[in-house]
Amino acid sequence: MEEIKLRGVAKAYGRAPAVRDLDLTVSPGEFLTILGPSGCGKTTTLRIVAGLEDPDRGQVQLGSRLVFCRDQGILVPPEHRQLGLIFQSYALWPHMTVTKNITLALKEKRLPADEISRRLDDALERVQLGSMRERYPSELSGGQQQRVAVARLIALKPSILLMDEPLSNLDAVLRTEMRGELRRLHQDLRATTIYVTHDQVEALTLSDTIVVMNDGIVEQRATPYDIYHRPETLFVAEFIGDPRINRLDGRLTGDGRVEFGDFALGLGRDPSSKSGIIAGAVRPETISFSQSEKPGAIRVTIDSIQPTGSQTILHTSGPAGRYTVLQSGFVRAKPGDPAWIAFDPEAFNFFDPSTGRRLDA
Amino acid sequence: MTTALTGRAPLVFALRRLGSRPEIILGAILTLVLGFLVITPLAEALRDAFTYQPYDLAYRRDAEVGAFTLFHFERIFTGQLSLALFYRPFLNSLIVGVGVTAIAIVVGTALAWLMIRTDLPGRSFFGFLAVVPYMMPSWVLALAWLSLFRNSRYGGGEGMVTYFFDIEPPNWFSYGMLPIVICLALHYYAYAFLLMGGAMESVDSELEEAGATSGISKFRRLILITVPLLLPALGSAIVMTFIRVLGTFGTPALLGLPVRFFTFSTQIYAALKSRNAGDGFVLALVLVVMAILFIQINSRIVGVRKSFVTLTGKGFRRRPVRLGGWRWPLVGMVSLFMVIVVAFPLMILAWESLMLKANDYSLGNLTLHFWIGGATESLQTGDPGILNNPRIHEALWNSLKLGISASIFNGLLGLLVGYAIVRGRGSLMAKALEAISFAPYIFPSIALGAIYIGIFAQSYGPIPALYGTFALLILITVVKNLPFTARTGVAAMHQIDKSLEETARVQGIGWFRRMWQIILPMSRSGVVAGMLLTFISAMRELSLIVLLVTPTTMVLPGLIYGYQEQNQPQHSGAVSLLLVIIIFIVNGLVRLTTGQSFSSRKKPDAERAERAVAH
Ligand SMILES: Nc1ncnc2c1ncn2[C@@H]1O[C@H](COP(=O)(O)OP(=O)(O)O)[C@@H](O)[C@H]1O
Ligand SMILES: [Mg+2]
Repeated sequence: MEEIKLRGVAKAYGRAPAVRDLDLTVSPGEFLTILGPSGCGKTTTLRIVAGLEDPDRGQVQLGSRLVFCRDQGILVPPEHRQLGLIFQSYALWPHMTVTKNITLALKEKRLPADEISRRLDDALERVQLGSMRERYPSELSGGQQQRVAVARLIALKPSILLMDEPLSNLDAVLRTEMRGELRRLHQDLRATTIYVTHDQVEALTLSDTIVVMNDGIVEQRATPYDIYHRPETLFVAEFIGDPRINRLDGRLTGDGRVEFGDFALGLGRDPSSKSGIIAGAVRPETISFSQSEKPGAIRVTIDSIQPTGSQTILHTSGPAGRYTVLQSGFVRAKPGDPAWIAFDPEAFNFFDPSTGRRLDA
Repeated sequence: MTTALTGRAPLVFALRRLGSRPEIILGAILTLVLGFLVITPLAEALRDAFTYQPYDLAYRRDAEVGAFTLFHFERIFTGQLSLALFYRPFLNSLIVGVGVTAIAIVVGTALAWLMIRTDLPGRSFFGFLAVVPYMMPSWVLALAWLSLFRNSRYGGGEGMVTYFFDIEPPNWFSYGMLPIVICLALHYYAYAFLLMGGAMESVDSELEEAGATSGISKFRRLILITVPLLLPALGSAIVMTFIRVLGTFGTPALLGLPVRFFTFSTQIYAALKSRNAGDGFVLALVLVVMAILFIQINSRIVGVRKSFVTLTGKGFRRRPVRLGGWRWPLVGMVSLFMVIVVAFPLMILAWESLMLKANDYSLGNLTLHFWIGGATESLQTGDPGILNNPRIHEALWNSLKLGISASIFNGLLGLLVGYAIVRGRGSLMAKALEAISFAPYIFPSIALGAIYIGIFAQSYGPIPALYGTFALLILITVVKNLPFTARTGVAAMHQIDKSLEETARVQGIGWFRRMWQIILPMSRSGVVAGMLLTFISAMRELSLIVLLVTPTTMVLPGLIYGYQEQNQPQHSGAVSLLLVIIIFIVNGLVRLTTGQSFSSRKKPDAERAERAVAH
């Protein structure tokens, strides 16, 4: 088990920065996910760790080994970093059988033959592909190909594991299945893992820690729970959660209350010392919803209803704002119907709208 | 950290970084070596053209060899001899070039259309036949023409037509412009056929279908969609044909020299054979400039040569055009054409090789002497038949050596150049390498040969004097075919996703092993295609090496030309046949043994390499 440590890493393609000034530490054995929209620099970060891309600045350390530091003249090429990497495309060699795909690197390491065949058998058994050893990748389904890629890593036993959107080529059913497979791979190898994805469900279900990236910088690093409940920035708040979080612009009155267009909240706390404009964000499932009038609730009109069976997404609008509500159960209503919603002040996160940063009491 | 280390750190880092990017090291080496082989000859030729050469002392006593002069240019462009030295050959080359290109393009395109777009019976067989000339030397038709239409006025005695019908063809029909244009056009149509056929096959898809479903009329679809899609291929077919025709030597020599009809290529040959190197280089340079100008003009007309056409292949086919009542007449015409172009010339050569006495086409005169006989003083010059003839055996062995070694070097180069260009994509090095590896394309063959004589006659830098060595033949063959193998290499490398190599790299597999285990096997069919093209070209090419061969380095095409010059039609016929048969066999063997590759259905045929360069 090895630690991964990036310090002040920056990389630009031409003049467009892909990663800026990144500090990132992954503890030994940790499963860390880098989550962010497409083009935010996730793949670049991963390739820098693997050594496939040289950063312009900064240091990369794997375990006790400094593998990249321009100032000290240190650069360890990828083939000597001893890590495992899974690409989105699986990157199986099409002209080699499953067996050859798995054993090529082992032979290159000059492991004894019996060790190689033991690892091969073990890896194939682990992914349940024992009967496919002599097949070529083109003769396997997408899920099977993915499992060969996994088996290749199991056999190689790297102490660091890097995965770049490994599930994005699979269909929904396989994706759920393979999620478990990858988590198991991590546990079997006890490898320090960086997993890159733009899919928040994958990130929330798999990770010990999530790093949300945006435009080449880290927005927040936290546990899945905290990423969801205590976003550090407006970007994180809006990026995580489906349906999207409700963003409400309000004004601080200075007496512990926030005025939004349709209602005011007594907070009992003051998120900022000075009064002014403030951005509130509240998750759709924390809003209580009723189809009959309730005291203290705000009257809204239902714009659209999307029942998914166990829950229902409702888009509503009040006199001064629109609100998305997630209600458990199958709500029966039609557009235009009135409804009443109420907010829980504790469920709100507040942000400074000019910096996008979290404001705490 | 000590300051000493910090001071060295940037250097250490730069070196390590270089060490971790093999494509850059490789690219740099290739750029240097190929740059040397491609650019220095041009520079040398320029220098020789602008300085006095030993030969010039005959005209200018006071001249100092190596001093700057415009003497050659004056002689060629304005001197008394300029009409014969320059203007007439220039005009002849231009007319031959334009004429052949026009006919070849029309014929090649029409055939391609018939084979690919229509329901012509037997079209796949004809399609195979149509590219056979590609595997034959371009001057085989000229030999056949001479056998048929030779007249007795210029050595060699009467031809078949005179023998059988007692008609003596006039000079303008037997020699000179007309037969040269016809013979060349009937050979070079095959290139246009290859390129246009390839384009039609891949264009034959969604775009046109889209046009059809959006309700555009058939004619407007042709004008709006099909023609623009085919234009790039047409442009490259035109350029390719024109440049090849400019540089071709065999046919203009065989059919032109008897009546002192000179084109640029034969004029260059004459100049260099009479050791008048300065003039030769000026003419070679003019030829290169003509080629470049032509490329420019053509790309102006055809427009930016975007490759609309993908090489990836046999797309799906639309419903073919129905020929209706034209089907069988067209089959007849195409068959006749194939007989004239392929079967007939080979049969005539075979006949020539079987005649005891030259010019006697009676059946009683047939003999196998020139195949299996020994040295008989009374027959011809006493040269033994080709199976017992050490000269021929040596030339055959040399040809095979040349073909095999050049194709191995070229296969390797194609792979490495392709790798360096594709992996280094975007870097200055990759652009330089791409330009350099394409440069030999614009050198007409004879001009490249002339320029290579110039540079390698003496030792040059680290390279010893190569004139008269076999190495020089290999070198020029490799350089001339580099554009094809490099482009094929690039195309093959594009098919290999970068992640396939990166995965191996991250797993600890070093560069050499990656090349061997992953890159080479995956690009195998492209590499073999480039090698096959080089082999064929090395075996049949006369124009490129005619200036460079010596008796000890003689190869088959040179030997054939020699026999023809010495009026030994039996030998030239027999050896030509032998040459063609060898090319056919090797081509067939390669296709058979390497046809099925693991993942793609693409065959490693030379035609593919031929097409690759046009895009
Ligand atoms: N090889 C490259 N050349 C130029 N720009 C690149 C290259 N790779 C990535 N980029 C740019 O860098 C930014 C980050 O890319 P990437 O790390 O691939 O994002 P992600 O994986 O998060 O989608 C993007 O704007 C992308 O266009
Ligand atoms: Mg990515």
